Amino acid sequence: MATRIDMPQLGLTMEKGAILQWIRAEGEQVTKGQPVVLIQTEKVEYEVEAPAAGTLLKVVAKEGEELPVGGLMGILGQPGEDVSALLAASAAEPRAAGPAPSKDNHEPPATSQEPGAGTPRQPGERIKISPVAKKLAQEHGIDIATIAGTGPERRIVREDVERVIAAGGAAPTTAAPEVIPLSGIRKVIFDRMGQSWREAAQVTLFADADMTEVVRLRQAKGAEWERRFGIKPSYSDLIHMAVARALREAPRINCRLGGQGVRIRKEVNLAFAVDLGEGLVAAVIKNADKKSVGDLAKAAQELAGRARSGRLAPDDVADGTFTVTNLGGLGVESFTPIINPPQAGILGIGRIMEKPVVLGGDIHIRSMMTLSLVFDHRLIDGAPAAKFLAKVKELLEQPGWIG
Amino acid sequence: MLAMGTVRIESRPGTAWQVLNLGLEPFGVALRRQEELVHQRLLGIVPDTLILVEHPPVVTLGRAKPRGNLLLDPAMLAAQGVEFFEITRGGDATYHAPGQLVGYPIFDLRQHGRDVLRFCRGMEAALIATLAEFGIAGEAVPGRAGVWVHGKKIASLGISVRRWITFHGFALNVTTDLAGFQVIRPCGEDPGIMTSMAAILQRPVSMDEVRRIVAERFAETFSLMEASGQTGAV
Repeated sequence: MATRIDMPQLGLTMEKGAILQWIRAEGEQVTKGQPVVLIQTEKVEYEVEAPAAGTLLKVVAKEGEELPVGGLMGILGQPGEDVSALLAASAAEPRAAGPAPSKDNHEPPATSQEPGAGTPRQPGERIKISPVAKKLAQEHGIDIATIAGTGPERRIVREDVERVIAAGGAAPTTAAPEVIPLSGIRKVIFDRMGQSWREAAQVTLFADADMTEVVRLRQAKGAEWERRFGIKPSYSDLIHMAVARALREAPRINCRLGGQGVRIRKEVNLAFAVDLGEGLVAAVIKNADKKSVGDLAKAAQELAGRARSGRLAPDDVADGTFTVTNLGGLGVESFTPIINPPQAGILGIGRIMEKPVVLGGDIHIRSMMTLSLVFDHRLIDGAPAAKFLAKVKELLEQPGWIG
Repeated sequence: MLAMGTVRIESRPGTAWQVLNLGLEPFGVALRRQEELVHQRLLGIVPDTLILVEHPPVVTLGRAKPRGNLLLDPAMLAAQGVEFFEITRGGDATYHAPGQLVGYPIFDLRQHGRDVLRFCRGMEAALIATLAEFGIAGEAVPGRAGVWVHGKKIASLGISVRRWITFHGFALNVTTDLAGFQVIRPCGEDPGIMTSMAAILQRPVSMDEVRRIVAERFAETFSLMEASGQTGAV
């Protein structure tokens, strides 16, 4: 049977590729997995392997030709085989079309698991059991859902029931624990958080910020902001604004561990934590101190959206200089987050709560919020850290500067 | 196994990858080393590896690329003490010389989301983050691979992929003598388009420092890339 060799999709954003060189000529035999043709997309050269064994019957796309992803490059098959139908179908394909659906010529992802004998049954999976085993189980009053099958396709066979009977009737395990493998994002978080906790000399400073004026400002200006920017900045956005400005005024805090020392950075690249359900990621707003409140809000919204749909670009997460993490929305009052290395500081934001506060001898109801600054004392001293936290507090308590 | 000689291997805490600092090594020797590592990476007997090296003067030309981008023929290059290689990688004519930090990532993209273009973006992001540590504002220009500073090219990029293993990589001009580029049209562009960190900063730059920071930013960028939700997605 003839097999198509298609332009592979080597990345989500790849739309087309060019034939650089045919490694095999028409009429040559190849085994599955042998390189057949070299293609190029942007500055990447890629060896395309034979999707099946056979003879290269037809080179459809010549060297130098550009094809959309999924476009027919060549045909493999048995000598003498008629490929006119495939060629006719390919001629009908649009040549310079946009991204075509990717043809699956890769191995399946490593996570897919062949359902094998003895593996735990998925919830809702139909239970396969031999008639003899079923009768035996009924006689002994054993729930067949609790028996692990070792036959083909996890079918429960007589021996499986006998094993349960021998063990005293009850199946050794009923509900297998769910295992989240230490790979991908879990592994990254595992490694980075562990490294940070082991290495950084962490100190936490707490301060309560009176957010009453920020609450008032947001109420007064919310509608106007929405009109001007097309988005109503959240409390997080206003806090980002204050932190970015405080960092600009306290550059000593805006530093990273790198090379042979502490590198104090001129630009404020503010990272903020985005919850992904399983896992989290710190997206980075570049030059946050130079953005208006509307631009900051838009940047955060776009980054969070990309993060949740798994479409962050490498540049969206690289080169943060300081992180803010807000658990206030989840009802947390205060907490001590872990520094995101190689950064030197992270600010935890608690929830805004109305509290009785004594001001000038009188008790007032004010909207209070706890800030917790965790910093790496190897890189930053206590006094500058305290001054920075005081600056953030001041900027939030007198927010008239936010335009 | 690879003959390591004086090569320093650094394992980075928390990441299963290594950096090979080769110092100054001729292009041909480093190329064989890359090919050996690609093979070993395929077999899974070495982790993801970033080779960092400087080459004595050499011109390389990507396969199936016009020789017109060589302004001198190979014999004339040889007379000037410049080696010449035609190789299998994406990209066009490139010039390497001491003062230029060359990086060859031998990475298994099956563990990095199987996305070669995203991998290129990651290399650019790591280089831009490196430059930022020196106060240089580098940027990626869509459609023009590499890293640019005010319209001049500071780092070139061109990779090959064999069975999802990457090789070849990037060349970052740290203190490169830019006059050397006069023998080619780098990536088909005018030789005057190239710049270096030293040329921008107007001061000497420590290659050791750049090497160390590139390795750190690579580790950071690629671990963050995985955390950004693309692992195994394609």
